Amino acid sequence: MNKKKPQYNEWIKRRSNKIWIKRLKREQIRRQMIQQNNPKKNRKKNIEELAYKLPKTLSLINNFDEVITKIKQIKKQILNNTIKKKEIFLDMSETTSITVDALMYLLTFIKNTSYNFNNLINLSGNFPNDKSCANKVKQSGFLNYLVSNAKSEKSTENLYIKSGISVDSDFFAELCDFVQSKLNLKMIDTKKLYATLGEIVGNSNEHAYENNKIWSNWLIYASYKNNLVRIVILDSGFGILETVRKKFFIDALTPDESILKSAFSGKFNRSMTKKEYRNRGLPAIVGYAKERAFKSLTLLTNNVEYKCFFNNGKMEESCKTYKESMEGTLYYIEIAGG
Amino acid sequence: MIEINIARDYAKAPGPRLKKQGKYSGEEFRESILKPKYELAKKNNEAITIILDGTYGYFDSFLEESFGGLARDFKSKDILKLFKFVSNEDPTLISKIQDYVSNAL
Repeated sequence: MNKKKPQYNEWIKRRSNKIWIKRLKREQIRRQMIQQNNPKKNRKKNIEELAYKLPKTLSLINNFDEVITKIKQIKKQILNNTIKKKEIFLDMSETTSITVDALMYLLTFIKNTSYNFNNLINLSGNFPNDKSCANKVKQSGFLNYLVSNAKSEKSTENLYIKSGISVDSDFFAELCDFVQSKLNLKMIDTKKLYATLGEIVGNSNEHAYENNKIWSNWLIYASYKNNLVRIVILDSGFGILETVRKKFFIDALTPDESILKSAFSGKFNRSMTKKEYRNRGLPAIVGYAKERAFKSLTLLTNNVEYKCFFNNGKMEESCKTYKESMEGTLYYIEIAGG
Repeated sequence: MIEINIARDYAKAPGPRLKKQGKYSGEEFRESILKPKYELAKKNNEAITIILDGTYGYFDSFLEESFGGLARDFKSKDILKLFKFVSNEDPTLISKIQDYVSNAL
């Protein structure tokens, strides 16, 4: 055929369509064959899909063992055969009670998984069906760290979850301003809070881990209710007990509670620099609590919970051991209004 | 008379111990303000007034690195002889600083 004729171009088009139709048919047959051979997996991308129902009470302070068990279960599945791609769905639909400490712990887990496994793991989830829980998730700032169709909702009763690597004294000043405005206090009344924030985050920044690939060193959240401000701080390191046991070769028979109390008294030089004038942060934090700078201080680290609170003007301390062990340290500080 | 008002001359929200940990560190304060002023005061045999009021507060590590660090720089626990502290909002800071300097070496 003469290539200059218009009929030639039409012939070329018809021929290309025929080739294209043949290719499509071949592709369909190929996909059908894969479907027949691999019925359970995602045929197109060979991805493993898993779903986990999160506990009804999603709270570390109120339901520690169950929440930690669930997260460990998910982690175990992730580490089991890291060659395959996985899509993991975290189902919050049946959760009826949430505290932000669990959201912060979950956030650290999600971000560190993405950070360490790149494109191999895809984590997704949903909101609780319970409206008040769903609102809590949206108002906490949890969504600010994730890709989501929904947006965070602002609330005057709390600050969004804030994360960081370095010590952010500007944010601590903002947090002190929040406490002062909600509880009708002055700057002089929040000086010990400011010092405590610095010591906790300073510890997190300097002592908690060595060359560990990690998304963020610390997360902080603050909320106001009934003349009380609650501040939650998550130090996402190894935890006080694990750090002390490793660095000072403490035998397994020494009770966890006694190790923690010794750490509060400054007995262990936890400082990585091994200098005498260091290692003052943890004793200082507990010291402020005992001086009534706060209504209460609760510390959750590894498998131990320590509480220091004032009951009818009298100081009380308690220690509790859990079956499960978390990574890192959670601090709860409650400050009452004047 | 040499005066250092930390809230006015350095930061209303003083930071952590070291520069690598964050902004407004004790290390930076000592290097950029405290040490030069101390050297000047020592040369002229003058007193230095440190005003600690007006800030959001102090991390213990900030104070230790600032004043304890100064003692380590000059290898002397007597550095506080030239200092006068003003801390009406939190008087305990002065005894803390004295404690840090005496344990610095």
